[in-house]
Amino acid sequence: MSAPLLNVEHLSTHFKTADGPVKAVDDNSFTLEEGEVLGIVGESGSGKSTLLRSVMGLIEDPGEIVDGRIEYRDRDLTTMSDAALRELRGNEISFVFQEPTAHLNPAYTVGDQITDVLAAHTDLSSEAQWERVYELLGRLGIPSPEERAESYPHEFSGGMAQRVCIAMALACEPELLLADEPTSALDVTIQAQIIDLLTELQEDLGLSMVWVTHDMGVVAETCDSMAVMYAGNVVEYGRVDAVFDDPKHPYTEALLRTVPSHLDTAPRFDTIEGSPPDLQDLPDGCVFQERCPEAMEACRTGRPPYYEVGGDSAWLSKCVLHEGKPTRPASPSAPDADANPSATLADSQTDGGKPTGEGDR
Amino acid sequence: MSQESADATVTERPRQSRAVAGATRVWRIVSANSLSLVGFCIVLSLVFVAVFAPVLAPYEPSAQQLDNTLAPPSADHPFGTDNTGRDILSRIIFGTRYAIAIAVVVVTLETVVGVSLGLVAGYYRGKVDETVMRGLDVLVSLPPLLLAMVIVTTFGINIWNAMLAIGIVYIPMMSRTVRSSALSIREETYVQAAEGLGYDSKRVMLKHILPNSVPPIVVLGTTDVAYALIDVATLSFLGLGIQPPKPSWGAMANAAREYILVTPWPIVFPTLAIAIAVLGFNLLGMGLRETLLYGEDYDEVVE
Repeated sequence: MSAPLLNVEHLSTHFKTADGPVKAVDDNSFTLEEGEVLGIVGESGSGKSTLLRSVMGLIEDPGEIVDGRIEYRDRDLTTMSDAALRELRGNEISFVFQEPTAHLNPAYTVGDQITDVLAAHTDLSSEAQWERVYELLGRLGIPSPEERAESYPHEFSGGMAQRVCIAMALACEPELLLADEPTSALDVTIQAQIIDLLTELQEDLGLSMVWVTHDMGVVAETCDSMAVMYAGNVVEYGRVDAVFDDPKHPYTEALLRTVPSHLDTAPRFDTIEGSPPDLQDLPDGCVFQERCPEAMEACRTGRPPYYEVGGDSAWLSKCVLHEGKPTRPASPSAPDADANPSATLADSQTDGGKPTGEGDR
Repeated sequence: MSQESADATVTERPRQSRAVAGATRVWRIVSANSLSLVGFCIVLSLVFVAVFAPVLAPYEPSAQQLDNTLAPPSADHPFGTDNTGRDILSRIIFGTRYAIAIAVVVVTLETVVGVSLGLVAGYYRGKVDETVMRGLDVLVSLPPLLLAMVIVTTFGINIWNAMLAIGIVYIPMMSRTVRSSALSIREETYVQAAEGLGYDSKRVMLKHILPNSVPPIVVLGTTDVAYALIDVATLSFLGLGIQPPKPSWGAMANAAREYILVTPWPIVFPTLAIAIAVLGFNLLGMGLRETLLYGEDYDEVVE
């Protein structure tokens, strides 16, 4: 197995405050293979966007990546120089954000803004840049791109502006696209269009994507794998179909139950009792313990590690229900990556001792 | 229409129309408010007078008529003559050239240096910001005209030093304005998006922060032209600015001071010229302030 495109290891991003750190992202690991689409889901404030911004290196004071590694093509982004990071950003790793109109500079026409990306990262001539602009805008379904390129951002609707933002993100043919709730500021019909467009582009261009959303439907429709976040922790990570079929973390299970379906006849939606913990004062042990129907004594002693609930590191759950199963190896991309999983498997079997059946509910 | 010709018109048309669009945009902004419209007309006529001074002036500005000194306004000399019999109207007309040129140079200097410092301070924040702004605070703590006089007397009394001195005095105000708008604009999502697109700090500052802080710069720059006019006139009045026999409004007023009890005209008209010029730039500045800074969507207001 070749090294994954993106490998995030034990990433923790904290925001310093006078009353101690706010642990917006706390010890998270996930991997993204080439051409894969990963969905990150979770409720508001669960750290999805912070996680994504950490990957881009766009965490601003007082935030700080306090621990962990972000490996992109075997290069650690957390220790990379600013200049080297700038080379990557917008060029190999691109971003699409929420609220497209706010992300466009009101002082320039959209054509100027797209050529700006090209000017920053390529040596294309001015004519070639404009050709590319028209091509991109056309590809993104903007009618009469030559005219629209001369328009200012405020002359675009939300959906059209998002298309422009996507055009900017794709201008330098990136490998990895990070999308932070790209559709949540848009009308429902436009959302569907943008989702279809991104899916189509992802397939055509062979993009790898990380898609942050709180819409389970989007995940089910567009993603290959998913990471479920709760209170700054990715509590479950796995293939979308597997996780939807048989969630291995009580939070995922509860979250999936709350997704309304048109087949529902119940008068009320399912909800999860309680509210998320204070990120400044996370409980010892599992972050979900206070709302978890399965909570037990073990949940309160120490944060659970990632258990390999599917037999390998492709399906992980941070829940003590799976205690006894092997835990995720420290770094799958480390030189002895192939040897590692079996080693930890053997280790945990000898000292874990518990039968694995208990975890499979 | 063939594809080729369509492409040609597309690439040609926008470039050309941008200059026209820019001009119409300026006119729309200026005419959106009656203050700025009046101010703009005064400024425009001053520029016209300055450019066509040799045509408009009835006499040579330094031609003396020693048999006709300190004459009151008449058909021959609408504004009268001064103590050496020079035509005051002609001298005021030529004086416009100096006044406008100096004010523009001063404000350009102020803008270039002030904007750069303000942008850097507002963008980098922290230590850079503190260093730059505290340095400028020192400059502010000195009385501006006194500082200008010290600079001029130290480095020699000539017009370039006078412009340099006044320009330096104005820098802190411009820097503070730009810094404060840079501080807020750098938090805008599009600036963060620009960082996300991997732009270096130069590109972010010049292409993303600067263009969006243009309105306060324009407003401050315009009002500062008015202040620069007064300060240049003051320096000239004190004999530290433009040197006679060059026709400068301030120096004319100073020269006429001695004869004020004999005839008021030689001092009235130059000061009136200063007042009108200052009024013009002030009105323009005030109008632009209302349109650019307080009318959020001036495009909508206009259209």
